[in-house]
Amino acid sequence: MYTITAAQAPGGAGEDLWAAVEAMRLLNEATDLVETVGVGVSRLIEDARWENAGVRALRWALSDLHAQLESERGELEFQRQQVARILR
Amino acid sequence: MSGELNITSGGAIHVDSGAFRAVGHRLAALAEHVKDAARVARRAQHTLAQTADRHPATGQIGNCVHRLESQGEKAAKTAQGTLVMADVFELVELRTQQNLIGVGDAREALAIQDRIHELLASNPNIGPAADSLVTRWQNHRFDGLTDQPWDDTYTLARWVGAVLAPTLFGWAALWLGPEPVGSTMGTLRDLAVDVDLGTLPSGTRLTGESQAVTLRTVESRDVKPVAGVRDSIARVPWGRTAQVAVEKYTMKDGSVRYVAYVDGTREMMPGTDEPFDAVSDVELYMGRKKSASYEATLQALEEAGAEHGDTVDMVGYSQGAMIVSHLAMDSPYHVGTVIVAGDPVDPALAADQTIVRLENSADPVNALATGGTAGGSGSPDSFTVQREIPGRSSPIDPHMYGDYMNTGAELDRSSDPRAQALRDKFFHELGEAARVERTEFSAERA
Repeated sequence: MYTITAAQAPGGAGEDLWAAVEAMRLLNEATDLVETVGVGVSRLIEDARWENAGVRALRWALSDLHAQLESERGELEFQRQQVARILR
Repeated sequence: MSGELNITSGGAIHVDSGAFRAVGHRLAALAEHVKDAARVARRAQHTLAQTADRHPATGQIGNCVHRLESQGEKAAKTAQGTLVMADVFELVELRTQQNLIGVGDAREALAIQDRIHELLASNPNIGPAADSLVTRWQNHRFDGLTDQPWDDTYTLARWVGAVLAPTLFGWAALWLGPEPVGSTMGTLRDLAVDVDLGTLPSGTRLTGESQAVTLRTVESRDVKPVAGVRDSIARVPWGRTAQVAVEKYTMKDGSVRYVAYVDGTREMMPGTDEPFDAVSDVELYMGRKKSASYEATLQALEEAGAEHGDTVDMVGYSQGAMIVSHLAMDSPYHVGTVIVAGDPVDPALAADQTIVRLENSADPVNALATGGTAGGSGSPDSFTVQREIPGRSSPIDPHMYGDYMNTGAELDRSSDPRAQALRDKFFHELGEAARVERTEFSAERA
């Protein structure tokens, strides 16, 4: 839990703390969004599991997108933890 | 793709246009959410960039934003391509529908034309893409057919000759018998395309008088509900005395429905008592006439208690597939679901009828259907399963009953949503039956 007192500290340090808190909030939001999209893509992969050579490219594209989103979700989570260090 | 399934929604259509379009729309929406995520992450990056010592994560978050933007763009393009392909599939479906209804229903044909115009006007690439799709399908619909082993060529030629004997084509086939199989199969393919009898246009009805057959019950017993495509094919009385089996499903609410299983050709030579012979093949395929085997199937249904208007689902192999295809188009029953293996014809079914076609890709009997229509027919749940079964010692090998059972087993294991829907709807419903009475019938020409 972060207190308003820390954010209201005089000078640049306080503003930096505010920025870090805001960045963390935004990174959380972005991570949640990516996670939600990942779930959506996962469902789409299930529903598009057509055994057809002609649409295989779509299945690959969806699988690739899912893998990329997983990776970016992990990256955003990691960066959020990095930012959180400012507040420790 | 030996052994591997290729499931289409019929003809050149990889996936039903409605299902494909739905995926395109969902992906387009998801692509926007990816871009939203990128925008939010960018705000986080800008916020951090304002800090006095510019937090080291700023650069990494920036890279993440770029990748998310790129993924969002890529997903949006894939969605756009999917929607265009859905339009292409729809155009092929509509053109096929138009061909199938012909001049019989001008109003319906005109309504279809309006949508065709709309699609063509929406994107100049859709028309050429649909033409290209159909051309590619036409060029590949007989793949594998001419690459068969030679060993039993003469047997095949005799078979083809017997089937087509009443026509000049039969003599040609007999003459071509000693030729390499590739030539024989190529000729068979070309003849099938030339006579153009493999596709049954909307409104096709068998003509001629009903032929007299004598039907006797071979066996009657209670069985478990049919549980899958392999089981459906296995219940066709292939290799048994009976040629037709009918199962009466009494549901828990007391309602009754039926499933008929019809076998293929039993006798190649004419002049025997066997109704499931090559004469019936010729009558059904070349003449579109009622055959003794067709009559035997109708009598078996009547004998089993099916009344006009009852729901009768049908499973057929080879000639039996041709019979059930005709019955699905024109019979006193409501034929809801049809499963055919090695069907020499492709029927035009209504939007409330589901057809599942099993086609071993080098099957010469199946080749008589000439790939069916470019756009398929029946409900959106209808589909065609293709599997490459190379000939082992004879070109007729891919038509073998056992290979179709294996194709059915593969389909039962498939995670394709169309196969899943068949399990969830058709087989699940039948599985709810309180009682299943199976009767096997043997027929002879009277």
